[in-house]
Amino acid sequence: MTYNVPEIAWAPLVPIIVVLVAGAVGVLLEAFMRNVALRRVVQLQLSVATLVLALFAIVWQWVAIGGDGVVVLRSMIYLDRQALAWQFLLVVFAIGGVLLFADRNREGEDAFTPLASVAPGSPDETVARAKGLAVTEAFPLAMLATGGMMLFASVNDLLFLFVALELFSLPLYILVALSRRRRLLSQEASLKYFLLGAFSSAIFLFGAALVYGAAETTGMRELLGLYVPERQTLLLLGLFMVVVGLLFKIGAVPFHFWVPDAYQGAPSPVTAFMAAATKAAAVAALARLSYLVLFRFAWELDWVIWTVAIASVIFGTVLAIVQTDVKRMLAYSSVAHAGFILVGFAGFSPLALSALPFYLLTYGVATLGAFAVITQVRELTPDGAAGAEATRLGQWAGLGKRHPVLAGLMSLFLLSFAGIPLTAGFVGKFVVFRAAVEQGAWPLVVVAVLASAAAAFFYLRLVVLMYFTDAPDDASPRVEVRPTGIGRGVAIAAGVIVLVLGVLPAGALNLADEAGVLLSPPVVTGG
Amino acid sequence: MDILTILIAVPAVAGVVLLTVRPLRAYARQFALGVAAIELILAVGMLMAFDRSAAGTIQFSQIDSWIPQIGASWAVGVNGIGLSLIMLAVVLTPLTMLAGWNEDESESRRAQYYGLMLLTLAFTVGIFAARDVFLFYVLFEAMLVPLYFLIGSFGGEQRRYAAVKFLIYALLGGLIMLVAVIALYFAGPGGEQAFLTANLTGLTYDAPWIENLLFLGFFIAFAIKAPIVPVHTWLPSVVETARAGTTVLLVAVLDKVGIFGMLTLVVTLFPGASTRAAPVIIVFAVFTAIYGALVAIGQDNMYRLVGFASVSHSGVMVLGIFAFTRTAIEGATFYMLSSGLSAGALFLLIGFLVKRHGTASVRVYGGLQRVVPVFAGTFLIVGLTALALPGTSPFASEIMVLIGSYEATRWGAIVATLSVILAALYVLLMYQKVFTGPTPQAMEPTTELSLMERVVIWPLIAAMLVLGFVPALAVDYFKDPSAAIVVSVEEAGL
Amino acid sequence: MLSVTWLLIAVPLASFLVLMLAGRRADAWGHWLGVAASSVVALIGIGAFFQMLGRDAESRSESVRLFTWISGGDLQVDAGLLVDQLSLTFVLLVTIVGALIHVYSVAYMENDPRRRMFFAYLNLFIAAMLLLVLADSYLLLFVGWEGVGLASYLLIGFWNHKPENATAANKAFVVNRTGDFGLIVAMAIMFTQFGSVSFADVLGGADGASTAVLTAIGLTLLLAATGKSAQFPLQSWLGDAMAGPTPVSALIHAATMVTAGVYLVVRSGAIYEATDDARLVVAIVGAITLILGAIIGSAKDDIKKVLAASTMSQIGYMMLAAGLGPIGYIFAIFHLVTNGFFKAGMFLGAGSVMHAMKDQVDMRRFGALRTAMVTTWITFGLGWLAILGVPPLSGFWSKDKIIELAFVGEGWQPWVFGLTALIGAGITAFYMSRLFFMTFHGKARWTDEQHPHESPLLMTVPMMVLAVGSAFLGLFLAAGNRFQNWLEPVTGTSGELEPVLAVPVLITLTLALVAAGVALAYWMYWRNDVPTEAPPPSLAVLAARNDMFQDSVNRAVFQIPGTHLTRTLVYADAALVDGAVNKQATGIAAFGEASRRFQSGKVRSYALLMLLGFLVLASIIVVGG
Repeated sequence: MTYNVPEIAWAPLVPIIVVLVAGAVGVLLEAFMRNVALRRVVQLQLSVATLVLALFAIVWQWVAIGGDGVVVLRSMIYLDRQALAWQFLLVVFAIGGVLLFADRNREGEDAFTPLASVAPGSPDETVARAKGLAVTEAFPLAMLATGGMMLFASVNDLLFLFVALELFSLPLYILVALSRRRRLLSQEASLKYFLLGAFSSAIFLFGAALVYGAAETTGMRELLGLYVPERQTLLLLGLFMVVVGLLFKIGAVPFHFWVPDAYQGAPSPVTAFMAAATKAAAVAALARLSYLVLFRFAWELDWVIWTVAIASVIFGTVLAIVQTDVKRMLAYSSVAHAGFILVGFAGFSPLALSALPFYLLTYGVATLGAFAVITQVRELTPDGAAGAEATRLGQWAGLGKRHPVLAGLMSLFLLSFAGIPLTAGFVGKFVVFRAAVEQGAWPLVVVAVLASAAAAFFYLRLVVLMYFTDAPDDASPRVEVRPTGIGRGVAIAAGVIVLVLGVLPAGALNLADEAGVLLSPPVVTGG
Repeated sequence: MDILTILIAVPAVAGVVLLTVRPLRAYARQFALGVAAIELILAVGMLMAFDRSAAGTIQFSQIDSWIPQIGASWAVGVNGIGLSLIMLAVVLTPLTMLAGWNEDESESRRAQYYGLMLLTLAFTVGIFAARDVFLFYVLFEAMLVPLYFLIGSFGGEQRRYAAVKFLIYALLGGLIMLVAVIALYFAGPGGEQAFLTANLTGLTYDAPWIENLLFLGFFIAFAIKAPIVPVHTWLPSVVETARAGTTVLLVAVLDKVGIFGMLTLVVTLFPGASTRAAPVIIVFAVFTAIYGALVAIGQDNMYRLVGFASVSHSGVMVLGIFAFTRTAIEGATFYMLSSGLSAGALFLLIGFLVKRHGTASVRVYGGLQRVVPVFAGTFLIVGLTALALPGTSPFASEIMVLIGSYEATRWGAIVATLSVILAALYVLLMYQKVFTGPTPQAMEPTTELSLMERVVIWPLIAAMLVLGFVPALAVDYFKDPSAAIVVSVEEAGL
Repeated sequence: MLSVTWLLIAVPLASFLVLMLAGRRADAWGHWLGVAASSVVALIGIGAFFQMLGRDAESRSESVRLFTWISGGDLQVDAGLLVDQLSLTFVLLVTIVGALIHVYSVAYMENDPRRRMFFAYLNLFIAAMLLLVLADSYLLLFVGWEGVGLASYLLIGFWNHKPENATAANKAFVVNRTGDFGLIVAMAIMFTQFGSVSFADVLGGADGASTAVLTAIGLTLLLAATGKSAQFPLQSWLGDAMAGPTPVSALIHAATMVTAGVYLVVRSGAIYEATDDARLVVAIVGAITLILGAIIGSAKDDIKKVLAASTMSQIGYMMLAAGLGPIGYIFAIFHLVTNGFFKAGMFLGAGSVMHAMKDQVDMRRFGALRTAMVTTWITFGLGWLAILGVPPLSGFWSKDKIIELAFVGEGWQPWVFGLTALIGAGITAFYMSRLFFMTFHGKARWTDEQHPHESPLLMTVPMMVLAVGSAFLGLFLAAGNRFQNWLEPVTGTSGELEPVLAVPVLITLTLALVAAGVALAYWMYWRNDVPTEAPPPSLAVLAARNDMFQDSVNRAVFQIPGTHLTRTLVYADAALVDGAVNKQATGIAAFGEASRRFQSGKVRSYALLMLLGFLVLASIIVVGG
């Protein structure tokens, strides 16, 4: 038995490798750097620099591989413009997320607990706080997660996909638990997220096994050529279970239960990163799976997408309407958005391949922006220092009058979520819905738009609160905006992107069009 | 840049500037009025340059690539109908600004109000000028945002409820229309100019039901905007609570977007489905005409009363459009202008009353004619235009609709004519309760119409009288476009 | 002359605008401007008349096109004037009576602070009325038609600080609008049938149209006419319209505007010619109204309301005549002219009496005014005799001729119409004599503060002129069939007609009935004392006093159901239509609240629900696959 050393085209992997290496370096830094303040700075600069480098690498590869794409690592990884587009999105989201991680208020506090290993409320915690400790592991964790997601978006093999899934999920579970305030809630959320995540991973893995049983391969490109027709039910079931694993990450009904708790419990910068990036990565994988494999079983699987999409938009919307917490409201809104995304998959229109990255771009940017704003709206402690985030809806009353710019940005993001024209969200919805309508799925689109009309209600309720309602004079605790440099910067940048993508999206759509082609699968026939 | 683009850009940029540049706040009114005046001058210039002998063709046309990937172009241009409605908007806007001149409020709120007004104006002009269905849709929906803030930030106690209701209603219609817009893309030729109205006219559909559904998608949105019963209930809530200036823009100009859309999009793009649906729509239209008038009679709040009156008028306009005779369509188009002027003037006058006494409830008023005869006379004249007294332009337009639609729908026309009687009731009862009878003590100190207020209202009255005596001044702009619509419908019917 | 015809409308309109816009500055001279304007148009009218007399009978009708008014699609309407014998007759009546009443009003309204506005409105009325009669199309006529309605509204409500006056004004306008509805529908039918609404096209094309269409046009036009002319069933507003200043009642609600309905029917003669059914309905409406008005007039104590009822009744005669064909048209217009004079004269007389009696209108408070106001007594007396049809005064020539005509025909019609007209004449004699005797004769029943005196010359001179007209105009016009010959080119002729009873018999019968009516009134209201409080009425009198319960009927049939309808709709709009919208919103929220229960916060229930969802979907795949 000879062992053939596979030929690996390293160049296309550069973006991923850079990010993962930076993650590893970051872990080492955690181990060996004692000075907390310095460590924080180094970690931040390392992360941002790496991510920017990764962006350049992606662009380089975009040009280099052209419209064809490259097979890397036998057939484990296929790098094409679709994959690079998703990677680009993920890195952008990661930059936004990491910047928010580093954001600190006037008291020098960031969003993370000083020492995650101590019990909430214990004397040790007080000591840790007094010593000015900081959990700078957040940066390498984010880098590892980002690397995993980038991989996730490019993988052709179901097993490898599982590895990537775990690679980006595990850091996230930890990140969710790191909140500086409301630590119990944060840890509980993390645990729930972990348990349910493990559950869905199991389903995913089981599904992959079933697929192997039916086709004796886990390579997506090879599946259709190799599967045994008699075992189609097995294959379908396996594929469905894989899809369930992905739907979990996307946050679609009925696999969405972790979303509100995790969104609420996690530190807002983590929520921002997670909301934008996880969804994008999962959609990327689902898109690849769909257009390589599932489209062949459109008749058998389309109704699943319809059902889940409808359930997601409806439940996401109506549950968002009754929320009283801003973060939970955005969580349910993300469930509804999962539904809108799935509408794009209906009928497996080729248009969706370019529409989905664009949609996720608009959604992710607005999400980052919205959470950037949320991090700045604070309850004040009795001595006037910034306390926990003020996430109860009522606490936002009258913000528009006191902080017109911030409230204006938030309104812009909300309008984008609602899909009002001249914001990015509208163009995103338009291209996704167009893909669905092309395949005759207009009834699904009608359901989706009806739901988004209702959804506008809760987005605008926040606008109403900010602009049309006066703040109660005797609110306790008092709520104030504590603008932070980075948070403000991220919000403004996101706002500009949302507007530009809304008014002049032609350039971005062009790129999306170029990204809308998968590397054509090699025809592998069963022996 | 072409004139229409400038006409859209000037108020848009000015509005954004006013909303964002702090030092400008102190001069918000002057700035906004100046911009509105420039806009008016530009528009008048455009009116002069417009070739009336070719009113049916699109003039000042500009087509530039915008989002080629989805087939959307920046395509603007006007025929006689679009031009007239743009004129209506640019004429009414400065007047409403003047009408709210002395509103007592902080500088920042004032800047916000006028900034939003300018934005609304920009969107309005854009909608009437859009020659691309996607562009139309975008402006149609985006306009809701400044309006939402105008309604929700300025006005009475129920303003938040009204703003949300308005928005949800409009969005509901708009989003359904979105589905139709997208579907239309696939029915049309596609390509980088897929949404040009010209490219979507005269399409043949695989099956009638496709056209019917597309038709419905567009029609519902416009029916909500117009509004016609039973999707009208946002209007009374809004007019009851919004500031008079907002109401004027909303009812006098923006509601016309609904009628305009039916005329220039629905009927033009889907003549076949329009013909098929006409009998049903006429029933709704006639019902609206009567229902609106009857409910108007029973109102205590004057804003609501006029709101329902304009619902009734919308019914008449829709009847005119879907009667598909040239006379009726020209009448309906003319009615858009006339009813805009008339309802606008009436809302402004009610606003003046409310400014004096803080309420729009007729019950509170009485006997004002003795105290403020000029006010009373002005109110009466405007009221008479609202009931379409002959010699005023609402009459000329209404009679064209009623007489012109008899041929197409005998009973529709007859029943709709009953609204003429009801109009007399709601207008005169309002006048009677407010201005006649003994003067209550609280009404004694009412001040007479100020110079500023006269400057606002009297030009509107003059316009209605001039157009009433020489309707050709306006109707000449509608002749060719209306004829084209009738021809397209007739061809589809064959 | 034709070229300046438009001045007939423009001059009073300009005067109206000046009076309105000049504001209080014009208070000092405004009324004289009004008088001047109305006098100028009277002179123009007379000038036009003489010019027309100078031409052949055949070439007297001329039309002038001013400008294109409405050009909408296929609807082309010019602003054009039609000057022919019929319209000129009206022009003369309106301008001459109008000018006289303007002069009268200068004194009558002397103490009113808003006299200028009064004259403005009067001028507006003159302009609108002349437009009505001079228009050469139904649509332009409609402008004048509603214009006089507006003037009437403004003048009835001139003292609208009294709520009942404002209500009366509204009622007049709305009831008129109900009639106008008919005119609009008529125009819609015409446009559909003839493609035009001009007199020339519609009347010229009437031969070619089907009877059904013409009947429809005829009936809808009649609806318009009943509104404007206070004919059954739209008569209810006229009595209340007396709330306006008395000169208004004289000009608008007696002499001119209310006769516009008759004008409309006569002008549309070509249509009614071709449809017996519509014509019959015209006659029936006229007959009902003439009796109805006469009965109401017999029971009223308010001097102006008696005159209003009388107006209704007299127009009923005209309508009846107009329902009888071309010859009837002529005498309808003839009676319209004579009635214009004597009725206007009597109203001015009534105004003079009110002027003397501090605006008292209750005849039970009059009596024996003959000595105090001799001029008024004489002028009023002439009008009284004229309306009675006492030969040789005007009414005899016009009204008795109508009674004669009513007896023409076959079958039941001549007997019903004829007898109605005949009995009507008797009742007219009774109630007019009642009015005259209660006012000028018998015992004085004045209250203490009343010191009756004759009115100033500005008031009495117009009354005298009108009295002269009441006395001699009929004879003058009837002599040598002058009026008939004058109008025949417009209305056409019906040839010789034989009543079912011989003419001398009819004249005798009529005069006998009139004499009986006068005698009865003399006995009841001159010889016997008139109680100052109305005695408890019998049912019949009660009905008559209440305008035959017309208001109650209106209230029961239209107003109350209408109010209920609007109230219900207002409620339903808020509760049902809007309620449904709000319900939907709360429904969604409730659904949301219910769904929230799944989000229990317990991770095992999450897992269970996920598993459940997974199993359901998976089992479908397994079964389906």
